[in-house]
Amino acid sequence: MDIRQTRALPPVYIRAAGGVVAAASGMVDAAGLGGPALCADAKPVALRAQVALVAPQVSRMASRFSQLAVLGAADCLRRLEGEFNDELKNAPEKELDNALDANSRIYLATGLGDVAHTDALYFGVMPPRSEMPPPARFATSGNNMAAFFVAQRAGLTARNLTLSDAELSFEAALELALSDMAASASRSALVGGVDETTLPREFYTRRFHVAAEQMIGEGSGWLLLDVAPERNGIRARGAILGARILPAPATPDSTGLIDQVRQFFENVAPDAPTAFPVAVLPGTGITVDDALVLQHELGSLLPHGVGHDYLGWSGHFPTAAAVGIAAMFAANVEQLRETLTCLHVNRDSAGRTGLIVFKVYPSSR
Amino acid sequence: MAPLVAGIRVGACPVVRASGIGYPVAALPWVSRFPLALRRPGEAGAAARLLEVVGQALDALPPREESRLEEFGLVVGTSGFLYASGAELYGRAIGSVPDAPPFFVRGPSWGAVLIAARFGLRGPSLSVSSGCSSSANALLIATEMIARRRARRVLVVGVEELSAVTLSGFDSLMVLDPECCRPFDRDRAGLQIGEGITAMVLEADPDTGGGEAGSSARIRGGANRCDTHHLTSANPDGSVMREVMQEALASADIAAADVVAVKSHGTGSTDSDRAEAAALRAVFGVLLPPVLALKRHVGHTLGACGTLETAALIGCVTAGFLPAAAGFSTMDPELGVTPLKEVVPAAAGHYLLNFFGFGGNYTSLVLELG
Repeated sequence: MDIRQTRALPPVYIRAAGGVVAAASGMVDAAGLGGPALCADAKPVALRAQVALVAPQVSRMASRFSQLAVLGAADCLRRLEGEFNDELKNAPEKELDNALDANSRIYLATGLGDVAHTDALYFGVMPPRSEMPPPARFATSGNNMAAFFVAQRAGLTARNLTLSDAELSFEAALELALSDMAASASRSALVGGVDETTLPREFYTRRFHVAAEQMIGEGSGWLLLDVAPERNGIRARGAILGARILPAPATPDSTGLIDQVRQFFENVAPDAPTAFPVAVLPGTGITVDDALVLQHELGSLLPHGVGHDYLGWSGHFPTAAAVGIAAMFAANVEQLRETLTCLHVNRDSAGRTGLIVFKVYPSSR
Repeated sequence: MAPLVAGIRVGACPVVRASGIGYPVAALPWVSRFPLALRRPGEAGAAARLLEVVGQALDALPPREESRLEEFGLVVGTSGFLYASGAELYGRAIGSVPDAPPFFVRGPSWGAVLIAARFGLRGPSLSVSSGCSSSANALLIATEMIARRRARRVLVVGVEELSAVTLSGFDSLMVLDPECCRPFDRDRAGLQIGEGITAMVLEADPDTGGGEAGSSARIRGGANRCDTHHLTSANPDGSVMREVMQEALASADIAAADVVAVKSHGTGSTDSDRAEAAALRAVFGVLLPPVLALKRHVGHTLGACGTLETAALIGCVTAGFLPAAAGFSTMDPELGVTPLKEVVPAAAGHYLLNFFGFGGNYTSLVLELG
């Protein structure tokens, strides 16, 4: 057994994708993903009113982190439900209740967890204030409360996990979800990445080694996965071909990264380099230099490669990959004439590589 | 679906430690107290304790396995390990700058990052935060990693550090029993908070020879579900707890009648014990096997209780006995469940272990012991 082996698993299909990101005007849903670049760090904006609209069952005491999670997941589910509503006009025998598999699992990835809510607890409990925390504030402070509220919104009681793996948290959660589905342990899963803004920026940039010009953001991106390419007559919108976190390459420079990308890509999508156009999405851990080398080196591997710099509008946060991937479905699907193969590349501060290969289907497919 | 099974190398894990923080800690096998007098405060102390316990577990591995550490998977379960870091950084912030901005908090995978860096683990890694089922979920994920051949061996760590936030938070919820917890007792009044660190090595092919160097303990199945009834209170009908127990039994391909004993979650809280009792009655009917409750012995170690109580149970069964549920004196007729009141010999077979947390996160594991 070789733990570094990157054997291909059966594809898992994407039924819906959505999310929210911060913007100067407030939170925007996935229809607005891919919008103009941020010109300043995203500032925390109030979310409670929007949550009340899309998830009235969620407690008013839910933390902002939880609200962010619920808004993103609700956007993803709304797309699925909306699609079903359209279909129902022509096929009334289909029941909306079938839109979401009741045994769908939830995998919520976060790099930083419920930061601001926890901050507030400390400020109250520690000297000089030394107060008892408000019970509701403490009760809603656990990192897993966000996934609880998402489950409550979606009406799901199946497996529910809040997962973290530093800067590759979304990749790790997606990898586990795919592994569960490949093992036939589940048929459907809601996989998301959620992180909130952690200002001031000097704390953040020091922690994540972020370039001085990189804007900091926040967001919540979600994918609804299914083992079937079609459910209740509705075709999937895309597919995940593989997701993997690989150990730091033996060669610490870009050569090692390129070798890992080449090996993984050829493993999970052997026909993609020549048969399809490929979009390359550099993640938060890919420096400008890395991106340039990737662009150059992958030119021969991926002749149709096109870079998608989503961090320019999402801002930098540990699970930004989730909104970057979700945005490929929101922003591009209408213009697609053929299937678009995408490669998300990321690296963490320990030198590990996170790779995700997925496909976006054209709407007329 | 691949059979879900992983051996637990208990012999490589004599380092389960727990402190009841002011409460008596019974002499359960493989459970010992932290030397509180030597307890270093703050972030540095928390990191040192974590790495010390993990180091002891890894030191106990046979040399041939130690040399393969870089291939080990790593799964850490915790709900409050970060509090130690946060408290210290907060103290620094307000101590040095009166109007300090919010302090910097490390991410939930901080413990895993420390462990991987210190011991050179390069296999798959995950940190799980699911409240009091965190490290039980870590055990389940690690078992799946092994069953799916993603790793030969997985280091599983459950860690919980108490802090002012944790203690005052549970106090504010008025769920602490000032007389220590009394699981399933008519007069139960709440939790008995503890802290602890447990490091266990799960492997595909346990070496059962050589006394404490190996173990025949195996995880045979498990399940996790989410009760969306309320974020801190279980549905009193115990329906989701029943479902998770039944799903765990099904994953192990055994019937309820095959269970030798149940290690209950048994916190001593009014609502949680009521729901768990209802679920136990629904799953087992009148043939309820002995119900164990360990939290009076070790405290409720929150996110660490999955690994800590699993290791403690393995220790008891290996030593040949099932522990009595300390703190229980009067049956609650509403519950209809009486935990084991006297120490009895342990039988070999399948044990069902329950771990239920805030956020409705419920996990049951099936272990084959003896």
